[in-house]
Amino acid sequence: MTKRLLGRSLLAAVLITELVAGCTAGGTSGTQTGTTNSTGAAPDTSLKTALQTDIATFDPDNNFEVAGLGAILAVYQGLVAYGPGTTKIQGLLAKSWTVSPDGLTYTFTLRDGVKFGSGKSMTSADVKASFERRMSSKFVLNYFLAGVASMQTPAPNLFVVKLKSPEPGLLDSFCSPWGPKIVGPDGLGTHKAGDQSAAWLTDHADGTGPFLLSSFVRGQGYKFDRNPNYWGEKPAMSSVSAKIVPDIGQQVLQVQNGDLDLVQHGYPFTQLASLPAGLQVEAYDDLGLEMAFINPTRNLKSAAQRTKVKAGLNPAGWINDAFGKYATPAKSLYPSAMLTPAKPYQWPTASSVADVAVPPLEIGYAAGEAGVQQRVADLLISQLGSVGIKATARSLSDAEPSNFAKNLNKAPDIFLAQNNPDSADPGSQAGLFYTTGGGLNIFGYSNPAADKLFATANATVDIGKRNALYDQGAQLIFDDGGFVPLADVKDVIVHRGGLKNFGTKPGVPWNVDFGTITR
Amino acid sequence: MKRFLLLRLAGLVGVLVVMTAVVFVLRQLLPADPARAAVGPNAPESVVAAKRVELGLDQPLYLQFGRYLDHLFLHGDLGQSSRTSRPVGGDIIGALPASLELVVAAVLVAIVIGLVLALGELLLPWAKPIRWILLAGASAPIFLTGLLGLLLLWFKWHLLPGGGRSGLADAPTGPTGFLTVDSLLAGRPLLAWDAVQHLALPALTLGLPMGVAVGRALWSSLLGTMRQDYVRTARSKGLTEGQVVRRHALRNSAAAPLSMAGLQIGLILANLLIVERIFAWPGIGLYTVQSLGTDDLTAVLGVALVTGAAYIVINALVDLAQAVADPRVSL
Repeated sequence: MTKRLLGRSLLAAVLITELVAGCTAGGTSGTQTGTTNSTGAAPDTSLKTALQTDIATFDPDNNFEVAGLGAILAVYQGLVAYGPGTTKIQGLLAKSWTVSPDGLTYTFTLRDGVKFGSGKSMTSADVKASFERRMSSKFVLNYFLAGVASMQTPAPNLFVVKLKSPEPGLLDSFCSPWGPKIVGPDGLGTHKAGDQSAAWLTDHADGTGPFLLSSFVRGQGYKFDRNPNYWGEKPAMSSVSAKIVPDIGQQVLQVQNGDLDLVQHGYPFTQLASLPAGLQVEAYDDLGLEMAFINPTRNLKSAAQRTKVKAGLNPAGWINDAFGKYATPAKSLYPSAMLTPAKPYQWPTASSVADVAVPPLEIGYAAGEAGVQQRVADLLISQLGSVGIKATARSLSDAEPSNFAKNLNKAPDIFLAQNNPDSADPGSQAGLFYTTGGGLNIFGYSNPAADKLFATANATVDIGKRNALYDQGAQLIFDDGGFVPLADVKDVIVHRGGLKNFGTKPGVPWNVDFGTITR
Repeated sequence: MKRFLLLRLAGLVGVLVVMTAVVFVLRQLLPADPARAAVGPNAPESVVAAKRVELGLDQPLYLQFGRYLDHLFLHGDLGQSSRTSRPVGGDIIGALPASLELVVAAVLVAIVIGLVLALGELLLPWAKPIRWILLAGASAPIFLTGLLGLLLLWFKWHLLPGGGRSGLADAPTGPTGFLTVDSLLAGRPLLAWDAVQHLALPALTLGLPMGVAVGRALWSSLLGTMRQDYVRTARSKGLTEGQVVRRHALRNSAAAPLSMAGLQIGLILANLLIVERIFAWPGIGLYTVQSLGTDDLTAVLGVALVTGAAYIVINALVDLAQAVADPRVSL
């Protein structure tokens, strides 16, 4: 999902955080909360965090945003999930599964003893009901199950999915934080009310996760209490409160003051090197690749021009200034946590394209990401200047990129963004960005040869062969200058020390796992 | 009076129709796709296209506008938010009490500041430094005032809370929606005090510019009034300066500050977006900011209509207040 910092007053945020940095540099005001106070009292088992934006809806079939994912995943679970710190698929509500040789039938054996928050036991009928709900056109995430032909429940612990055609990325899509989740009978039956419980599930929940949603006050915050019926290991935290603090500067102040235990996302990179005493950083890989989208129809029509731009964008020259030690130059058009390219991308040198003329360029970046992207844009202007290309930058509304294709001649020449695909499946990345007609192929880039490779990959069951095809397709696009990968940027959590086991996963950006976190 | 109210009501409807048209057209011009906003950035184009049909966005603009007006004026329906998947009207009703409470508190703060400025200048010459501080505060952009207030009064000196409506998790949510009032109704004075403390900083930030503007208008008006013959007569009768101001000058000087207050209400409504974001205040300002961030134009349009109507109603009330304060003003 596109990373959106949902406030647009970043100037205010930057100002306050800089002021705070000025107030607190040197570690004079930070205090350590610690896990056990000096009198030996019992450790605090409540966790206080914040979200920059309201959770628009708690309905797992309708919520496509990033900010509240950790909260939703604390309550709802799917059949499978990525393991902590990896993109390796492991069972969650399904203890095992098999795939038919033709790749069309998936049979899941459900875990025993799973109960919903209401105390009712989960059966395959609940799984089927949840999947049927997800497939309804009323719910915006129905596309996750668009390829499902039918479902069966041959036994209370067996759930069978039959596909219209092979989907090698199906399990990845089930692992996606936006993938299908299992909703309990209270959610799907008792409160059905003619709208498939859409109204009730907006601010209530009925899942199998380690926490119960005990309070949902729109605009203010949420409270989660430990689920007494949880089937797995009981979470260390007895409760989690997540209040809405839209301004990241405010979050920074609150974590320094002890009003918050951690800031899950958005702590300014520029301040990480001089945190007040008592604050610690936890960094982890995510799937949000910092990338330059190239507009091939305005000033960069020829491949030679785009090659010259690539020479100027080479991240080796500026990445440290933008992200400090929390990013590495991108290895390919896929996040490193997703795919490792068979051969390194060859960046052109300035001398090899010295005689190519490139008109002055315009770099665009989403206003919502201005804090980071504006910094990157400024650095790129300087870098492009070093290869003889003049450039300017301008901030765009979050909505503008999705409308670039309507008038490419008014769109910027380069657009900077850091986006997250639905899952760790390379097909998810390729389909979203690089394929002709992809949802976030905002400049309408088309490379028939790459499309062909991607189409072949989509139908290839063998993982190694699939990944090789995706890699080859992306290589063609990089060589053509359609997209330029810039950086694998780590997601950063800043906390008041003593917290550990964050349970972060590359596929779940911006969020910690409330179920695993401990002091 | 009746004619005045009827004219204002007719004007309100007219303005709302025009405002709806303007905002509706603007919505078409903005580079945002409501269908894409409703299904998320990663949804395939087929899902976006289906949503576009579902929302009627594939129909001609005049049909969309007619349908919106029909829903708005005949059913009071502001449409459905793509962000919350709930009726915009319900969302606004849910967020409105928090904003109203903040605006009421800000206006109270503004009245105090205005009186301190205007009367202090006239009656308390030693209060000049206060005036300078207030003027300096009002000259700064509101986000800067808010941030400085946060840094000093909350972060550094721990005098006031930093954000939100309450530090307590079990705050009552009704019946009025005003947390200060509801807490008292629930017999919880400590919670009411907590709510007042949370209210103080955002209300001060919001009310300061209005207070200074109204105070200056009042001061300027008072200066003219204090030169009138009837004031000289009052003084010659032996009244103190304070009595002269209170009994004879204040009411006769009310027209200009009341007009200024009416204008400033519009500024307060606009500043709600900034102040509520900075102070994590869960009102319609924050709702609007979050809706803008997700291209939820139906919600933004709904808020624009409600705040526009509120502005017109408040200015009508200001006109009424002027007529009450000064009998020479006819409605």
